[in-house]
Amino acid sequence: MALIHDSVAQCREPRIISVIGDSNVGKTVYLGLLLDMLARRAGDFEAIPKGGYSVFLQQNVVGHLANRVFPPKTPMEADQWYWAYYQIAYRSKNAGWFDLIMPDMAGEALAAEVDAPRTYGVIRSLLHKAEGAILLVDAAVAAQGSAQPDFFALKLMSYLDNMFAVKRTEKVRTPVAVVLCKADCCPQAFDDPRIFAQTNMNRLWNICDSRFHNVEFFASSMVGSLGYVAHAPEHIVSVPLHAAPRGIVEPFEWILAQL
Amino acid sequence: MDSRATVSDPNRKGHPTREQCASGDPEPTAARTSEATRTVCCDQAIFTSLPSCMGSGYRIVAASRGLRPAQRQEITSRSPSHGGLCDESPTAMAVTYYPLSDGRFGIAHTCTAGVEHTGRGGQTVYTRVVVVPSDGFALFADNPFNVVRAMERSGVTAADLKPTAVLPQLELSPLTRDAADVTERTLRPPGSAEVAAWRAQLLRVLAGLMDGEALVVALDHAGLALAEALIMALPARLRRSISFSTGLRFSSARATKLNCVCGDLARTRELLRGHPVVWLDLRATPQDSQAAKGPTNRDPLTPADSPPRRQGTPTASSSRSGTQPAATPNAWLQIVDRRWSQGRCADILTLTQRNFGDASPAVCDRVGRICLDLDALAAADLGGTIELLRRYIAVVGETDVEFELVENLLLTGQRRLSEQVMTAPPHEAIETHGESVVNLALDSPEAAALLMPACARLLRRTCAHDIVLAAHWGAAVAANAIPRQISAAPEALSDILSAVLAALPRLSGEQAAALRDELSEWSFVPQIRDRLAEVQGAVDERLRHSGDQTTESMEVAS
Repeated sequence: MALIHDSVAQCREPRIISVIGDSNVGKTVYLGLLLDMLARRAGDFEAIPKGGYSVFLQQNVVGHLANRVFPPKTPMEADQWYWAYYQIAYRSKNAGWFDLIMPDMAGEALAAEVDAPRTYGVIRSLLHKAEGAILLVDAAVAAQGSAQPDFFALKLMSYLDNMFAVKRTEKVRTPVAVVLCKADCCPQAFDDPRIFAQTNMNRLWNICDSRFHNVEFFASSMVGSLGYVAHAPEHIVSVPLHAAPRGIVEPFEWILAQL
Repeated sequence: MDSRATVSDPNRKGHPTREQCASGDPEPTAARTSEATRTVCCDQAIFTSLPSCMGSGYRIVAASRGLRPAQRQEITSRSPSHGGLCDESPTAMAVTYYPLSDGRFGIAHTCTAGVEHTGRGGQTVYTRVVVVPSDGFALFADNPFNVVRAMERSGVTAADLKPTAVLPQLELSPLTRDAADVTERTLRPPGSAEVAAWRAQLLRVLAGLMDGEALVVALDHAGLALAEALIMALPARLRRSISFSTGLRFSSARATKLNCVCGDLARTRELLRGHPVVWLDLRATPQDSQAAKGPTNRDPLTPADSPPRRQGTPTASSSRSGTQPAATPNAWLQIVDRRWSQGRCADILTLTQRNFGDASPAVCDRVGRICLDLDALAAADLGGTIELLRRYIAVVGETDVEFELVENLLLTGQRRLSEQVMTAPPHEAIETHGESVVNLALDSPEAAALLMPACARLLRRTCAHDIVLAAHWGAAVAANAIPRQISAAPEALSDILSAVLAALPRLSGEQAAALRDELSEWSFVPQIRDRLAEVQGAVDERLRHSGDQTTESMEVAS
C-alpha cells in the first residue's frame, strides 16, 4: 500500500524491472547489493529510496553478510516479499529520473507460476508490466555439468516469450539481462559470459537467440570467498567470509540503457 | 435432506477397492469410502523444500496420482513455505483447511523437518496435504481435525524426507474422538467468569465467520483446540466452506477466512494493512484486561445500540474501514453460548450435523430461535406453553433442521400442555387460559390434530368446575373439530354430555337454561346425535321441573 501511495505521489508511471531466477540462485543477495551500491552512487548513479520499506531489503542483505551468513530464504507468500521503490538517475547525464520498482520474488513462487501459469497472479502481473528483466542463473551449478539451471532458465524465457510476444514471427523486444551468478566459482564466466552460456546453457542460449531481440549476458559474484561449516555430515552450511560484489551494476545499467 | 452423503458402495464403478487404494492406482475422482471397513481413501501430497534432480526449494515434491494440475496449483498457493510457522521451534505444528475447486477438501498438517538444507537459517517447513472426497469428509463429521487425528494415527504427520515422487492414496479411518470433548476441555470450566468473558470473544469470531468476514485471531499459542471449538460450532454446510489455518503466519495469499496466529503479532498487523481483514486479539485473559486500555469490544449478543461492554476485554479492530458487527444478535450465537456455558457441546455438534440448507445467517438465526424457544418451553408455565405453541403451530420449517426442531417443539409443547391443563390450579387452567387453549386447538386443522387431546382433557376438567362453560367450549369444538374429523373431539363431547347428565340434578334453572342454549349448538355432531338428544331431553325435563317449582313458589309467596 505504501508503495502504491508513493508511486501515485510521484505523478510518473513507475517502471518495473524484475529480478527473476531459480530458488537459491541469489536473487535476494543480488538485489540487496545492487540497491546498496546504487544508494552508494556506484556507476555514476544517484538512487533515492522512496520510503523506509525500500531500504529493508538492502539492510537485510548487508546486515546478514556483515555477520557472515546469507539472508534467510524469501517466503513464497507474496505479501512477505520485500519491495524496493527507488528514484534513479545518472548523476553526470541530464537524462531525468526513473521510478523503479523491484520486488524480491521467491524462486519457488516463480517456478510454480512458470509450471502452472496463474498460480501466482501477482508474478504474472508484475512480469507483464515489467519493462526489463534480470534473469539470474546459477553459473556454478551449470559449470559442474548440471542441466538444472539451463532448464529453469529455458522455462522462464519460454514463459516470458509467451507473455510478451505479439506475433510468433517477431522477437520479444523487452530487454533481458542474463546474469551468470556465483561466477567466483567458475571464473571463465567472467572471461566471456556469452561463450560460457553458449557452452554450458545451450538451451537458454538458443531460445534467446531465436525469440529475444534484446538479450545480453553478464557474469557476477557477490562474495569474495566462502567457508563451509559442517553441522552434521548431511548438513553443510556455506559461510560468506566477506562480500566482494562484482558485476552487479552492469546488468542494471545495460537494462536502463535499453529503456 | 441430510447434507451427509451416504457411504458409497466400494465395488461400484469409479470407486477403488482397498487394494487399488494401497497400490496408488490412478482414479480420476479418488472416491473412496468403504462401507465394510469404514475407511476413506484420500489423495495426498507433500509440500516442502527438498533438493532433487527436478529442482529445489518449496514445491510439491511428491503426490498421489489423483491430484490434477488444478488441485496441485491450489495446494501450492495455499501451502506455507520458509518461515511460515508462527512458532520457530522444532515441535511447532499447524493445521490448514480449504475447500478445493473440484469439490474435495484439503487438510494440511504442517511441521518442521530439521534445519533448512540450504543453510540459510530457520527450519524446513514440511506440509502433508490430504485431499478428502466430499462423501468421505462427512464420515469425519465434516471436522478437519478428525482428519488430522486420523493422519496422526496413520503416521503420516511425521516428516518423510525421502518420499517417492508418486505417493499411494492414503487410507484413513474416520473413527475419531468426539470433538465435543475438545470443545468442553477448551472452554473449561464453563461457568467461570474468565471463560465467560473469553467466550464472548469467541462468539465475536463466530459472528464474523457467519457474516463471511476474514478474521485474524491473535493467540498465545497455536490454538488448534480453539480453532476446532470454533469451527465445530458452525453448521456443517457452513464450516465446509470456511477455510482456516491455525499455527501459520498470516498471509493474504493463502486467502483463509479464519487465521489463528501467534508469535510476531506486530509484523502480522503490518501485513493486515489495506486488507479487508478483522483483527481480534484473544491473548489477554480477563484479569489482565481489566487494567488494559484500548478500544472496547461489543458483545456479539448485544445489539449495536446497546451500551458497550466493560473496557479492557480482548480487543477487536478492523483493517477495513466501517466494519461493524451485525446490528441484531444472531440467535444461533446465543444458543451456542448457552450450550457452551452449560457444558453441552455435544448438543451443538449434533445440531450442526443436520441439514441447514444454505446455512445462511438468516437460517442460523431461525434455528437458534427455535432452540431458544425449546429451552423456554421446558420452563414455561401454561401461558408460556400456549404462547409458544401459538407461535409455531403454523410454522413450516424451510430447512430440514428447522422442520425437525419445530416438530420437536410442537410435540414437546403438546405433551406439556396436556400435563399443564390438568396440573395447573383451576383458576389458571380454566379461567385464565382455558379459552386460549380451546381457541388454539381450533385455530387450524393442524392445531386441532395436535392439541385436541389436551383440549379434551381441559374440557373434562372444566366439567367438574363449570358445566355450562364446558358445554360452551364443547359447542365451539363441535363446530370446528367435528367437521374436520378430529378423532378426539367426539369422545370429549361425549364425556361432556355424561358430565352434564351427572350434574343436572344440582343445576339451577338458570344454569339448565344456559346449558340448553349451548347444547343446541351441538346438533350437527353425527357421532353423538342420539346421546345428545337424550341429554337435551333430560335438560328440557329439568327445565320443566324447574318451571313447575318456580310457579309453585310464586303461588306460595302470593
